[in-house]
Amino acid sequence: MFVEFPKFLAVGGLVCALLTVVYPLRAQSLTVSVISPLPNLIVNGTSTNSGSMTVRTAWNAAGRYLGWVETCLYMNAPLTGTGGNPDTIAAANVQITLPGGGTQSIVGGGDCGVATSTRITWNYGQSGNANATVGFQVTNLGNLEADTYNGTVYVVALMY
Amino acid sequence: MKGYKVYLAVAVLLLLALPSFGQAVSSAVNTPITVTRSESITISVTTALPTLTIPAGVLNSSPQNMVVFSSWNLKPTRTNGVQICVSAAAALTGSTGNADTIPVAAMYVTPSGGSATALGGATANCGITGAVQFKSYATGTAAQRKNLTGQSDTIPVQVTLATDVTADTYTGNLTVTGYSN
Repeated sequence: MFVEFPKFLAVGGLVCALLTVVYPLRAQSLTVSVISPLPNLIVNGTSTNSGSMTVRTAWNAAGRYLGWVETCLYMNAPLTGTGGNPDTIAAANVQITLPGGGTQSIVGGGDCGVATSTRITWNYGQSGNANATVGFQVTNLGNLEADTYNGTVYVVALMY
Repeated sequence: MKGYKVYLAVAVLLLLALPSFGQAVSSAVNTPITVTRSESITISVTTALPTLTIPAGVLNSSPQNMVVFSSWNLKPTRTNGVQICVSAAAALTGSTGNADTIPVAAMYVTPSGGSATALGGATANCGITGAVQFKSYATGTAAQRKNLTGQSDTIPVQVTLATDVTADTYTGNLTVTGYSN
């Protein structure tokens, strides 16, 4: 026994379906870039001087997302020296100063869907771009061998 | 009736395709972070050289010791050791009106494990021509390159004159250098 389906619901469904088809034609996008890289940090005593980097986040939610965008930083490994230098600098010793203030380790609680990442900024809107400048200082270094220590900072954004 | 069935089927299928408002993650961009710990060699004289006395009738003093403390922190490529050297840039001079001097070549340093050697020779040590190398420390391992606790060296110095000089007090400067290449 088939129950008659109201015509207005059927028409509504078709309208929604059309919207579903139309919105994806406006391609959503989410990109991050480093527009001002971090300078070399020089050790003085047991910490470095301060430096900063600026990252840009650009997004277009295209109606497929609410328009919340968060940008995060993280590191996957310690900084390492050269040659036979066994000393390393733990990622936890990399302190960042957020654009809104406050200083914390770059090793955070796992924002942006990435374990150990730290959110540096929030943005909202269906589309846009925003720059965020983050301060860096490496602390609690102890007695490192004289050397150049290299590491990698990753920038990622999450939109929903 | 059949038409509504079609409407219903199409509507249900397309409603299922409505946006889910999920999450999108960007590609991660990486950027370098570089930290530089500068090299250092620190030298200090913890016990100054006492006055060297040349007794009457002889041309040389007895050796006297100065104590030098040194520490260093070197990068991994410095595997050729740290050398501690002594040099003098100028002769020792007497008091006003005394034209005599004690030349650099009359000052002797006894290297660790060696015999007394005159300063001012033709050989370069620690990058300084005429310097005498007192001792060389290995830096082949990370622990040797990062010698922050340091150590003391007792360096014997004496004067041996080629020709006598006017009785007087002669003063000058010795330079102690730590070097690694």
